[in-house]
Amino acid sequence: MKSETTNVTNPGKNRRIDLSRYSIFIIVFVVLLFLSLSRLNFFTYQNIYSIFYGLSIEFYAVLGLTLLLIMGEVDLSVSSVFAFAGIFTGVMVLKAELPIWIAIPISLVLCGIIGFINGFFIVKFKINSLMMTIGTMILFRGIADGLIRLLEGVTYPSQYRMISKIKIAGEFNITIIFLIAIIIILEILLIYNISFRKLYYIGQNIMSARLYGINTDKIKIIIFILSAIGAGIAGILTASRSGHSVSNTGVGLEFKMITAAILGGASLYGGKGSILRSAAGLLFLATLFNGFVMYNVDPVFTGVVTGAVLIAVIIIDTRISREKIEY
Amino acid sequence: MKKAISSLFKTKESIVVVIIIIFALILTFGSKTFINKTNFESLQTSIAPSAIIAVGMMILLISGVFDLSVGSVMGLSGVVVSILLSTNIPVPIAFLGGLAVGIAFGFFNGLLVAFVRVNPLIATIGTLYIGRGLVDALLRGEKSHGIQITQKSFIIFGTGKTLGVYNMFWIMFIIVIIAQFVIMKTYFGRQLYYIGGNYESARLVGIKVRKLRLLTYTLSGFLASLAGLLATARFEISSKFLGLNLELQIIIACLIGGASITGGQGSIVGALFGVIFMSLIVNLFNILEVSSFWQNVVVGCILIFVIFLDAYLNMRRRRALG
Amino acid sequence: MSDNNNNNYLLKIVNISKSFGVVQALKEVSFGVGKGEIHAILGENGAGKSTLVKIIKGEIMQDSGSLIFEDREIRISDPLYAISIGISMVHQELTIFNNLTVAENIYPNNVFITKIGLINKKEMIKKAKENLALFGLDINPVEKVAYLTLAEKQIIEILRSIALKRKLIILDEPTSGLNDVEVKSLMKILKRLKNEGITILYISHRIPEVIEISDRITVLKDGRYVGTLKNENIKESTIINLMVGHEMDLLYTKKTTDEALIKEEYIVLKDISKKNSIHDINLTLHKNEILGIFGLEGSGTDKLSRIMFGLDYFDKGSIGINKKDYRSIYPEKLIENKIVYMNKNRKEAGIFLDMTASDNMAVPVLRKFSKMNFLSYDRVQKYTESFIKKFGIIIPGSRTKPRNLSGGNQQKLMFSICLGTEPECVIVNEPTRGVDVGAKAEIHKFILELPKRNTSVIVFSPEIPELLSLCDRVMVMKNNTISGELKGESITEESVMSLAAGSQNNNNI
Repeated sequence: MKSETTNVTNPGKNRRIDLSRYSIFIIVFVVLLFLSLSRLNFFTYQNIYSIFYGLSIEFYAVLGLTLLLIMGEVDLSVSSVFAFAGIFTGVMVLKAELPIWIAIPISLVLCGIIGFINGFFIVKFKINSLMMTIGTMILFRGIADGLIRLLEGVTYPSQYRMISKIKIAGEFNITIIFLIAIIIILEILLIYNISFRKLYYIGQNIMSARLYGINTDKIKIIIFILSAIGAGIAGILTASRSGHSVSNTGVGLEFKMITAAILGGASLYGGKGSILRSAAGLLFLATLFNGFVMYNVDPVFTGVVTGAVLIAVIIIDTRISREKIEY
Repeated sequence: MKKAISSLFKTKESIVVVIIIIFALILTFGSKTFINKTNFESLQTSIAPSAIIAVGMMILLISGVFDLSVGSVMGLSGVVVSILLSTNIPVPIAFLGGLAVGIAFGFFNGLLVAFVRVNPLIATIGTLYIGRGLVDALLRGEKSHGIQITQKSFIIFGTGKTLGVYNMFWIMFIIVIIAQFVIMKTYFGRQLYYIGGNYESARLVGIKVRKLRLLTYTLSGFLASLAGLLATARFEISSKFLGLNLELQIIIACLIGGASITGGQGSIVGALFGVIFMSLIVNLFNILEVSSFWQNVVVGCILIFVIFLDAYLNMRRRRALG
Repeated sequence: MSDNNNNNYLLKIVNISKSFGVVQALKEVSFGVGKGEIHAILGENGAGKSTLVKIIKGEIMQDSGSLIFEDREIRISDPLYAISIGISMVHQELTIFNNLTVAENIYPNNVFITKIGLINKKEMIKKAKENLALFGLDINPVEKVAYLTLAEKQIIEILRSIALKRKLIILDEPTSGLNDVEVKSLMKILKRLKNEGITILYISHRIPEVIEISDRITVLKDGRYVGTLKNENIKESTIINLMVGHEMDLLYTKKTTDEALIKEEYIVLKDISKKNSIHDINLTLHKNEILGIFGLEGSGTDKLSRIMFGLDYFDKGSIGINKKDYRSIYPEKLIENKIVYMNKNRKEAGIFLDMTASDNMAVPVLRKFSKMNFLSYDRVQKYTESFIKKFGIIIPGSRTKPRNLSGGNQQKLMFSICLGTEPECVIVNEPTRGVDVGAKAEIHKFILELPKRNTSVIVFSPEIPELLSLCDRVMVMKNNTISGELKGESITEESVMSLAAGSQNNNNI
């Protein structure tokens, strides 16, 4: 029921409105089709399942980021929070010997605090969100790097490792169920829930939003908190899945997420975005990299490709959404 | 005359100099390892490349923009030159090849920011990512620990000394002096302050703002690659980690040295002092054997503090103007 | 119609017309600006002055007609071109470089270059000092401009225009924000400029100043050229009479206030002041009253409206709502108190150009149309459609985005957004901005209905006839403060314009 009254897509300049809204799905479909036809071992249950499994763990990091982009803000610290959460949880379980179901909430609360710090300074001191979140990114990357020494490369205990592997009926990872459920719930919320609708108003025209009584400061801070918590969940699940953490875990995550979100129709200039389409953007990237593996391309090239896609997508975004400002 | 001296003291740069002197004194008397030939040498080789990059960064900051890709350009240039040298190309050509990397990246950044009008932070973060990715791609597999360089005529750039001081330090010195001269005394240099102060007004008085943007970004890339070549020559091996996370240290150094995020302020000499300051802090940490954990925490905190201070001062300035 | 004296014009404006959608900003305006004279352009808000200036400046292009500069026809498509042929402008938002010194601001070009291409700083400072002295100014050329006053900055801009050898300097409301002493010194400088042979186009509302400084005065009204007067023994009233008096008057009937309807004090502004902005504002709105606020450009009305609605802070004073005093307010608080604001500049704030009409209508009343925080699009759609019908908004459907609508319909939509909340008070800034005659009348009708529904109104408007037909009382602003108050019968075009542009005040508030 995605009617015209819902998520805003393009400004009046671009008359081909409908096409770009669904373009990410078309792109994903094309890539899937191409890979299925050209590589035999692509379209197997195992391969597709593993793509979705990976997606179901990572996508938490793109949730909050998408919401922030809708409002016209950005959070570059997600990669550091991602690393920090996974490592900190590991430290609590290994060194402080806390049970996993206590360690995780504590980590997430800390992530929330980081998000609060970001939001507070950005909103109250009018610091540019790019700059502020770069600062927290460095800060917490450093903290994460420091913490990882405490772990000394040890593998995480099974109670931590099994979090990401819980299965239903012995077959289906519960994380994938959550993926589908959360996407559906958030999409519905974004379309119908008043508080979520406010995000679009803020991103479209923050002055108008204030004028009509929307408490823009409070909402921004809350979403920054959510973004950090989302990054934390993704980090914990990833650490759980791989069983240990490396010191550069998550580096570059923020770009991957921003690329995915913009592929999914969000704009750096605010006012647009959807969780479902951001997830589709992530799916595109995941499929692309899976394709690399299929074609025996060295995984080391993923960095370059993501960077290139990011730049391409930003150029397009700038051309479409940008009003006449010069640097 | 008295007024000139007292106004000189009020500048940000002189405050930094004072802090540096105090710092140096503390280090000298507090630790035996500071006043020591090896330490001084390693200080030179850590300050020189960073300062060279900081010159380019400061020029951009004065004109109101940034370049976050300098660290990865530095690293990539080192990798490229080591690859070229490993194929036995004549050293001068390999050298030019390395510089070409920086020029290309810088030019691309300039196009993105000045002509496509992408936000400078995002544009240069994108190129940062591409640069890093290329480094990882080029140094993969067996090459992941770097490529050794054997040509003496190249290594001399990094290890050679004149009058007891490293050549790269002299090079840095010359670049700093020339750059400071240009921005203070030539119209070409002063234009940067106009652009940084008020982009639109600068355009309206006839300053070729876009062309200057392109030029300054290209220069930044060039200087970053020069620094990368010098550092690689010093260690005689290219490394995946060269320049990693350096861009932010350099920006902090420039901010400490008098630049403002909003542009229109700063000096090359200030950038040099800022780099010296940051290097002394890192040196201090190393002498005290502070873990890199704390080092990062402190750097991050300094960055946040400096950004916050800058934003706060801006807010005050804006309020005062009504 | 054109003025006499056909020779020796620096700039000739020939039959310039410009429309913005349905609104004709300029219609066949023709007159000439003589070389070396100080030529003033007077007119009410909306008379077309700023449109004309924008055309000369190069920000916008005329629809028809031509500009002849130094006997050559020119097409100015970009401000840079205007500047290159010698036309410069000193605006209120200065093009000053705050981070540089006075001398560097006066000489932003490379005029002081030594043989080897270096800047001759000594020479630059010396010349700057000379120029400053020539105009009797005690400013240090090496001081950073950021520390100067607004008046001094303006003078620096003027000096820059001279340094860059501009032939025509356009000054737009140069004295707003200046105190008496500064105004006097500006007048002196302008006279000196004239002696240097520079032509000055002086756009202002302040009749006393215009009479003091200009050689000739051109009056514009409703986008048309009214006439050019020689400044010889001219009377204020003559000028005022040329400025006011509209064809549109026939459509406006003067309001007769229903005294019984108006009740007690509702909103009270006490001694509101803000640094470098408006000051000593005292104003009272009664329940069910329609209060008008008028001021010419630069008088502070915009600043007041923003402060009133909490979009800007104030340093001194308080705002009282229903007998409760506030030292600071913000939009959320006012909306809680059922006070809404219709902004003047729709694009900046007030409407979401790229969201559907329904989304726009829903914004202030989200809770009303939702159950457990879930919005009911159907109800919103019906609500939107009811207002589309009520205000006669010409729009394809409730899912259309306002960007595609005409100005008048955008305005009506904004009106609907606000009135739909059933507010107790509406603060409206330029209710019929960019709106055609028919829609204007409708909007006026709706505003007049409001007090009957227990809604009070504050109207900011640049059109005096509009205020005449809507308001029970009118406050007039001049020079960032209130210059007077008019009530009932005493509200006439002349009395309002007198308080706004003339030399008198009537502070019997």
